[in-house]
Amino acid sequence: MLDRGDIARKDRLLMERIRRREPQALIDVYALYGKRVFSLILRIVHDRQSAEEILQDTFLRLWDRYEFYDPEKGALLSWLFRVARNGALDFRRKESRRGNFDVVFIEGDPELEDLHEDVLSVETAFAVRDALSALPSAQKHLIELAYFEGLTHSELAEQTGESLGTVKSRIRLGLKKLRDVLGNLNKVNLR
Amino acid sequence: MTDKWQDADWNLFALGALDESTQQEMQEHLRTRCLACSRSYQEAVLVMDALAATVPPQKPSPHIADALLSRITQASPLVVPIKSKRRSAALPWVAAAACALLALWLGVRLEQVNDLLRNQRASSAAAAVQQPAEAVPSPAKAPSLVPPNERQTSPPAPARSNASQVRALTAQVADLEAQKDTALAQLNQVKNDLANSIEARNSLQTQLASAREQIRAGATDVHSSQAQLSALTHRLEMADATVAELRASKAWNAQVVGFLQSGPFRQVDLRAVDPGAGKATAVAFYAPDRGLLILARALPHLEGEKCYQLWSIHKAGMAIRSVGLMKTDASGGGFLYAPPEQDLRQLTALAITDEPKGGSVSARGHKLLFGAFN
Repeated sequence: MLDRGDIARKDRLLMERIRRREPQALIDVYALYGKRVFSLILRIVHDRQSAEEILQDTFLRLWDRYEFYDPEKGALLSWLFRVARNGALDFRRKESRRGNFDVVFIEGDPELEDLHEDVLSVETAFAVRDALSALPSAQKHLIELAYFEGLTHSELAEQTGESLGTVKSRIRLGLKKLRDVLGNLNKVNLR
Repeated sequence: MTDKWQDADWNLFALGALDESTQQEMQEHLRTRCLACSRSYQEAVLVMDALAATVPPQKPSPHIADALLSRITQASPLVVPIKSKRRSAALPWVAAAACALLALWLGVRLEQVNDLLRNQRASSAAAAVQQPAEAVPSPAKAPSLVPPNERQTSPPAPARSNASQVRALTAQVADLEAQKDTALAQLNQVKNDLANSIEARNSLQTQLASAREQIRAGATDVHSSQAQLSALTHRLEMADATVAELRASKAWNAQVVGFLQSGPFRQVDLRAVDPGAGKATAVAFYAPDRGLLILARALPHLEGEKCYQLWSIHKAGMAIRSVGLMKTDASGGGFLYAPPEQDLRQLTALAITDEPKGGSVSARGHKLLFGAFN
């Protein structure tokens, strides 16, 4: 398993090659992080074809605007997650306005052993998953709606029928618990 | 860290759940390079990344890496760009059939206006015996798409003999001709697209056969050849789908043309009867032995889970029956064909309403467009 230092070094080398305009470097980044990023996009947009378009856009953005990524501010995967999530939420909002959004249930890939090949620490992923599952369902639901559906406090209050104060307080509490779990882990392999 | 924002605030900031002004204010603060806040924010980002990591892993299609490589090396793409869901919302055959119908409809209209124009000229000529009329350019005669002796469209309105009406009719003829030319050009585009797609597909089949031959002969690196084979197979599948779609479009065109050229029909214009219809208009053609065709234009985009549904109104007890759901395209075009098997006897009027997605058993939505047969 790679630790944060290994990942940072690997990211730096890959970005150096991208700066030198080596096309294969982008493919190497894609091979390393593509599946993770795709899974997030698909979770948000629920449509493989659209998710693959957004996936390509995300990696092309890294190629075209590599100077926007600052290794001092976080891991490359973090940056890719952020760009991908923004792209996916943007797509989702537009589709929602057009009335084309169909929610479908997405099953996980049965090849769970893939997790072990991933740069993300299995320990971290499972710890957060467990922590998320352990949250009171109202907190978990609100955090998932905010993260995967891109809803703001006010939109969450409107959708759930809870007061704005309740929504804010539940999200704050839930996120604090997740942050504490991460803080308690000796190794966080995202960085 | 400032007193103003704590860890919990940076969690919310990273989540993107704050209102826009607060989100912007915190973004500005990060730009001041406040170390404590930056650190807190970065820790919050780890929480978000961990949330992303809770998603069950999914594999993207294997051709994506090739497509990325092609796009950044500016080479001719190995993979046909994925067609966007948004763009594919406008079904090509709907648009093409609508073009065919529009072209024919405009042809009929053109003939009617030309008839009016001829009557006007005759009146003007008679009047000129006593008083010289204003010179009016002679419009080119448009070919009729429906045999004159078989047309049963509305009779021409009584002509008023004055020069301004002749000028207005001449302008209308020119406008209709231009619209008809555009519709016919779009129709030709569908035919060209089909020819090009068939050619592209044939070329792909040749490339695929050649790549398979190279693999069999062991002439190339197995890994790269297999990747190429996979990309070519994918392109071929997409090309086959495009050809099938365009063939369906061509078949629909033929059906529409056949409908209007094979005998008499009744025609009705549907007009907006509700502000929700905006500037939408529609025209329907009905022949008991060939069924009902309807073409709508400028239909407003429906918010939420709604669709346009066509209803037939019948003389016997003024029964209202659903004809079906309109197929629509992104430009506000709508189209529906009801085969002759559908019982449309004693049809007196048609109406279009907005209904929940999937349609309603009985009309409950807003009556947006309405037209009664003469």
